[in-house]
Amino acid sequence: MTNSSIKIKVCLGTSGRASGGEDVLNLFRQFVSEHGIEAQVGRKCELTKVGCRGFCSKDVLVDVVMNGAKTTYQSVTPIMVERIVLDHIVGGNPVAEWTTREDYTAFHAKQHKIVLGPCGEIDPDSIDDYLAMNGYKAARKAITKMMPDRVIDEIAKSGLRGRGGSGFLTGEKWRICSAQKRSPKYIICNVGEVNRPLAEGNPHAIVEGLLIGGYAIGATKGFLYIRERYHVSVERLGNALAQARERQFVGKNIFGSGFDFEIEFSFGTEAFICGEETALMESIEGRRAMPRLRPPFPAIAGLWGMPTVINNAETFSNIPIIVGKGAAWYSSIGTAESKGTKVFTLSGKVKNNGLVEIPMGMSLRDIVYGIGGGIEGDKELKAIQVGGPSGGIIPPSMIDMGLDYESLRKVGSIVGSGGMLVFDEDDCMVSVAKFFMEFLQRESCGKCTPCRIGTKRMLELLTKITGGKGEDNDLKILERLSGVMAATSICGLGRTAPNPFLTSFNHFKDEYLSHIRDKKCPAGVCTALITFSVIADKCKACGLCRRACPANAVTGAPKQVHVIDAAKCVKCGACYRVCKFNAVRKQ
Amino acid sequence: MVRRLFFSHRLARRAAVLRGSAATGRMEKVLNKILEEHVREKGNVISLLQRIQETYGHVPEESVFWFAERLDIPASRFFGVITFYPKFRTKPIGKNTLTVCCGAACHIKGGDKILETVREVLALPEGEDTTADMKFTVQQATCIGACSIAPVAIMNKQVHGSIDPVKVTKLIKDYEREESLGYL
Repeated sequence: MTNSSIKIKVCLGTSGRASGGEDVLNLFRQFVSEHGIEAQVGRKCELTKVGCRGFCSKDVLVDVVMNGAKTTYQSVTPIMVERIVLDHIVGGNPVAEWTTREDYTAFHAKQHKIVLGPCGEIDPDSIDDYLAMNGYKAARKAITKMMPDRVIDEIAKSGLRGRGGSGFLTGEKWRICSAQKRSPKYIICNVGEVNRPLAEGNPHAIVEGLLIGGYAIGATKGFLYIRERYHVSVERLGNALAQARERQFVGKNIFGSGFDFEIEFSFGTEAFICGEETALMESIEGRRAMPRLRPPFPAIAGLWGMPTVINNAETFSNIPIIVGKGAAWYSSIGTAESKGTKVFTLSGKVKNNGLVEIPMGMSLRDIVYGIGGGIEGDKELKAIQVGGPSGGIIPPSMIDMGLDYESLRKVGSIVGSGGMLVFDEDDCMVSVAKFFMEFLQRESCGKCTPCRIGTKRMLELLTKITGGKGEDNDLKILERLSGVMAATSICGLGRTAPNPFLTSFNHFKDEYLSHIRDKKCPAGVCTALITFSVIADKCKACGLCRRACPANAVTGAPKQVHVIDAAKCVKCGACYRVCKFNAVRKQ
Repeated sequence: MVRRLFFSHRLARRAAVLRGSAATGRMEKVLNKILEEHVREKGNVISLLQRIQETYGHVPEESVFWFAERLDIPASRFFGVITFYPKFRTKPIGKNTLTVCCGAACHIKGGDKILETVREVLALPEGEDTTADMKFTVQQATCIGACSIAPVAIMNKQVHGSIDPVKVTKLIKDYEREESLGYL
């Protein structure tokens, strides 16, 4: 790597690949070699793939680093490659109209990328790239210069909490496990769907974190638990593991310290319940993923009854950073109780969808309007759901709350998997609650009664309400069921399953009531509760709606106001969509 | 459904016993190889089923009884696992797999319409996930972690982001055309 070489980095994360990133990279390669570009400019051109840098809505993103200046192009397609190479690399003039705009700068300005930092900078398949940015230094330091207890102290002092579910202090969890006398001990890294970008962008950090964790608790074996379906993640993590093994960072006598540690894959199958620690262990052991009763906690008796630590890939990605930069540095980020940063998947009706990493405590407003750039189509923000399917729904009135474990718990939500879903005025909260209940009911493992039957009954009631048959009493039953489920389910899935209903009911009570009492869906989503009609004043009798209607429910003739026959209407909304004069009313 | 499954298992079991190992005669060679690997790598029920599914595209019922006998594990344990995880299937899979993400982010961006369209385009009857000509199997996924480009569909291993009914129809039609031209 000389300073004068030109670097071209093409984003090949999940979204980059979906947008044709591989074609773009190949074309760059082909063009550069076929036209002898390196000889023309007299410099080396390094073409690499990089992981996700978060701004997925403008993929494929391509960085060109030349003379120390970095230019980022957005929405690159194969057709654009030739001009970028000729104008920019040969001619020295960046193609201004294709570079990223203010939204890209704004998207990154407020983020604090610790864990995601290297994603988008380094080639995930190259251990040398990772080593060049001090990779495996933290592991070497921990294993050769620190006693396991000191490593745990450091992690405990940093205040790092589990990034997956309940937010238990990672250092404490490790301490309990390390105090166990029995061996072998195991350490498991759960690579869930939200961790995919990490596994695809910087897989070595996960391996290194697992290595340090294994050393700290005295484990001999680590597992990478990953869904088989995530082909790219599996491939890149597998590659990282093979490279680490080759350099003897994993295996026998690591760093000449006498510490032996093996890492192997455990391929899970997709099941939401596998996010629960003990269910995941059952799955590794080859059974139905049903959570175990606790205590005993996994740190005392986990995988095959032996002391086990489970953390997710984001937690493990934080470990090398804490060991490398020190607990004091790490704990300077975040709030009093929640330290460090958290990765969120910002999606839904915001302008900038993507992967964001924010310091704990940042306000929702900064995330949605600052990083996210506001609501799509400049509509009204209706609610934000944080924490995945069982997270709570937060109304706009609370948008100034800071995000951390405590504040989210207070509003009936969780940090959970780090999903952040934004709803606008067109979304119906009752139907949203129903959607999540549908998901949770399907994913409930069926082991304990409150969750198995509770989710089913709640779903039935919510379906009844969105179907226009709701009664006042249904809400009371829903609330009671919620209480029982939260109090008596044996795992987090059942305990948090009522969250979407409870929070949406708290903050959008009117919406529930209008479904039940007025038989109306204010957002116009629940098909059983909406009717389409023509506003006579606005109708220009163009006939578009008549032709669009699949059920022949619209009658009318030229110069005659059209009419929709409610009895024939199948509520597909075709007339509403095609009308150019906003003459179709949806109620 | 449960009843039918139960009876079909019982019948299959009886058939397997009656026919002995001949019932899986053609499979035997393949299954023996899987068994060898399974023993060598000290696998468990899930990893074994994953291997079978990798080989056949689904888990043939006969293979379960074959392994149940050789490993001395009750067949019910296998079926318990198969029916728990949505990924395992006992029916043959089509040549191409189209997975539609039905996670939350995809849902609010119209993921349900995608699934509807796909099923309509492929003319799948209710309760079926594979076309009669065995060319396509339609599956649902619960969040594949590509929420920022929602809604998404995965054709075989390729992820397609920000799709809509028109795009997904075109995707299927393109595959059908390429197939008829002999490219696939």
